[in-house]
Amino acid sequence: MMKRVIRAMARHLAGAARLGACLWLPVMALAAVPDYQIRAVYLFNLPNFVGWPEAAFKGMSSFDYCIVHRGRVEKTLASLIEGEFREGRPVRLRQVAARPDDLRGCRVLYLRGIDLLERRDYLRVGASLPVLTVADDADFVRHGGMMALVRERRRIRMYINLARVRRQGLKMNARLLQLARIIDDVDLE
Amino acid sequence: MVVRLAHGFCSAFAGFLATGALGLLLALPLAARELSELKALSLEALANMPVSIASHGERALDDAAAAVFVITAEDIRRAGVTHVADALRMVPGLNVARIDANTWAISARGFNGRYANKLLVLMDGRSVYSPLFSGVYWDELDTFLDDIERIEVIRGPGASVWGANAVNGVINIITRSAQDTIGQAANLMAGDDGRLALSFRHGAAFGPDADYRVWLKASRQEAGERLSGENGRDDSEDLRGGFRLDGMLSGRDSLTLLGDLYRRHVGQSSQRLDLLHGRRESADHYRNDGASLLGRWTREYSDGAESTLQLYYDDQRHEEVLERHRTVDLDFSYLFPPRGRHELALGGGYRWIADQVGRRPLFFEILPASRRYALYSLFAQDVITLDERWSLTLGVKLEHNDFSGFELQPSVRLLWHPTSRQSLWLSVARAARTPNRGELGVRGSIDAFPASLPSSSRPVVFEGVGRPGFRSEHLLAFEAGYRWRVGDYLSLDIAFFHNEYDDLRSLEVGDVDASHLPDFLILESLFGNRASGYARGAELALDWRPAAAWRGQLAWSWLETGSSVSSGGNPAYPTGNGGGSPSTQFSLRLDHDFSAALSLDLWLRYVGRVRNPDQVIPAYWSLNAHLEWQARPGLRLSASVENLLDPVHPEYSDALGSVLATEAPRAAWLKLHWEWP
Repeated sequence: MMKRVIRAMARHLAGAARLGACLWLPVMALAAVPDYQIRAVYLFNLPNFVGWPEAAFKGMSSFDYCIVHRGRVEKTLASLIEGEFREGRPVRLRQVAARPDDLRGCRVLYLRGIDLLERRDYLRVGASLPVLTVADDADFVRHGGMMALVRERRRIRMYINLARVRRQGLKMNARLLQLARIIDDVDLE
Repeated sequence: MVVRLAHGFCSAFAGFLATGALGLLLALPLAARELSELKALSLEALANMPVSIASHGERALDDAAAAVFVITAEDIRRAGVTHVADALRMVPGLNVARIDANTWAISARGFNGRYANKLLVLMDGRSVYSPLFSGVYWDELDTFLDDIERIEVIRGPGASVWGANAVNGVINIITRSAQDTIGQAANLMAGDDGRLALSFRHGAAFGPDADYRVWLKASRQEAGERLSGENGRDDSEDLRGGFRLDGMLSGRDSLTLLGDLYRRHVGQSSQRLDLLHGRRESADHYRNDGASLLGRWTREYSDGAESTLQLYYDDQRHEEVLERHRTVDLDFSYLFPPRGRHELALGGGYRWIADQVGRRPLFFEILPASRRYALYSLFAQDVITLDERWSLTLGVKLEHNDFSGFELQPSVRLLWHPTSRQSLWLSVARAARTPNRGELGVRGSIDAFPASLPSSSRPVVFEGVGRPGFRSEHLLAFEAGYRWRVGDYLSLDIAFFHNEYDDLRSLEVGDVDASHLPDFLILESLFGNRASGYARGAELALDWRPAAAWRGQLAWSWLETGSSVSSGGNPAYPTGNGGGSPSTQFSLRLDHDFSAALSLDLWLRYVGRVRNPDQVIPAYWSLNAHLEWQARPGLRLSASVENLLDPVHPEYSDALGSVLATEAPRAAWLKLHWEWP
């Protein structure tokens, strides 16, 4: 009896694994994914391709994503980072106001769900900090932001203002830059 | 053979126990797997990942402060569902009953009947609710079934968003974006009860930024048996087709175009009251046809705002009542970018309907025979995030219709997440069911005494008479619910409700018309709003996935209703209220994958006794078995047996109307599904 149970168990597990492998993966490759999921995965993967000045985060007990609103992208990101570690620190999601104390320690600041005036406040406060600022529209990178996850019809493409990224002491991996569209400032400060 | 079968069952059962236990230990994450797959994608793959076109107002189920149930494409396929109405049987709290092969009685939380009038049904954003009797021609609601993405069912009032008539529930049938249906698919189905269906779909890219699909479906059904054993003559032939186009006009604008066209020939046995010959049974064939065209334009703004503009045209003809109605509907909604704690949405709509109804003097007529009327509405909704755990949704819809004027339909919903896996909600909402054309001006024979005419005594004919003064029916609903995702393998959803109805339709004794004497005497029964009633109940849904190869879905519901009529004036009685729905229903689906290619779905249902004014439908158990075999990639064979337990049983009778019910037979069918690029 025991043997039969084990055999059945093995067969079912093999079946389940096959099912996963045969049915799931091809579906994944074809099906379109909602934009907010893709944006969240981009945000999640960014730290693999970005270098922050180590000194600025010395003594930090967590690796912080900073957000200003809890929308679909942010909620998806929250479930992606659950139980994750970066640089040996637990990854955390933090809602912040446009104040220096709040923004200090942020690795990524995702600005979505606020109007342009408020966004400018965040950028002004963040300008002196090594924080990667990200939004969803191309205008953002021309007017003070570092990176945008822009919808180009059927794809989400990264737009990067490389000059600004470097000015604030961040580094970006060549693989990331290759996939991105590099944009320059339009307004002279 | 028997031994081998028994052995198979035995090992499957042992496997069930073993994998079940293992599943509990490992707690295989099912919903989360989707994200973890995405997480593992390379940056290059991510950059190339097609983005799906915006789905308006998409919200996580856990965030809804309402009794929501979603039927997925997988549920439809696995359960071997062959009609939209059959799929609804898995929803707790919904009563689905077949009268004959082409006539259904479907309602949520009571008030069922052929002319059930408290459920709003939308197909891809287009209302399929008939303004003639405030109900749905369920048999006409069909599409290429494999292209349905999901069916969202909301029990309880949804009027603050969807408007009048979303009283006891809203059903949203949503088909897949054309982006997700690239390639060819064909289905061939044949059943031993004389069912034959053939359908085909072709989907492809339409330029670089758009996709389309076209589909065609032909089906026929032979007649079933009546309760008396006679031929029910409810055979039908159906031919329909449609298309869908989804595309991006720019980085922020998306456009969806949808269209369909159908023609049905349906048979019906009915009992008619002929004022010269008395009650007569007749078998007739009717032709019903329709067409619709819908366009939807969605724009997403960089600050998170979203606007949607939708326009559709719908044209339907029904020969039984010599009716045609045409609808033009324009809807606009704007979702503001979130500001502080608030997420505000505003919208408005305008609907114009033109109808014509034929007359059959002394049997059925609606006055005036032709009418044009309009409906306009405004809605506002604010989702207020009180803190991380609490949110409050305030909604209101102001709607104006030409029959009963303004209706104000507010709702207040409170949601609490005690933990990230649990949610508790409370809601109070008001909804209205606006008068329909029939209630305002129908004149039709509904009964006679004695039943056979003419007789030696002077027979009395009861005639239902609609009145222009008929007002809307009103509901005040109190609901509460609790959802708990115990792990990734078990989730629980329970809802309680108490509904208070006012101004419900009543029939009261009116004038006596003696002008047809000595042949017969007509006693008028006038429609009024003198009834009130209540409904209360509980609904439970459990979803259990002990292992990747197993899934169990349980639905249970309990319902109690009552109605009364205010005194004063002529004697009156409630009509179509309270009765017509069983007090207990139960459904259990068990799904198992024997291997990657072979799966079985067993579906056991119990429907309690239904007491209609003229007939009691006994409680019944039903068992369906559906076996599916993925023969090779793109080729799927399935076999199904419906009603395994009973050779035949009745599900409903048309109490007020005239359709002679046929029984739901035991039936087996085979289906071949073929997909190729």
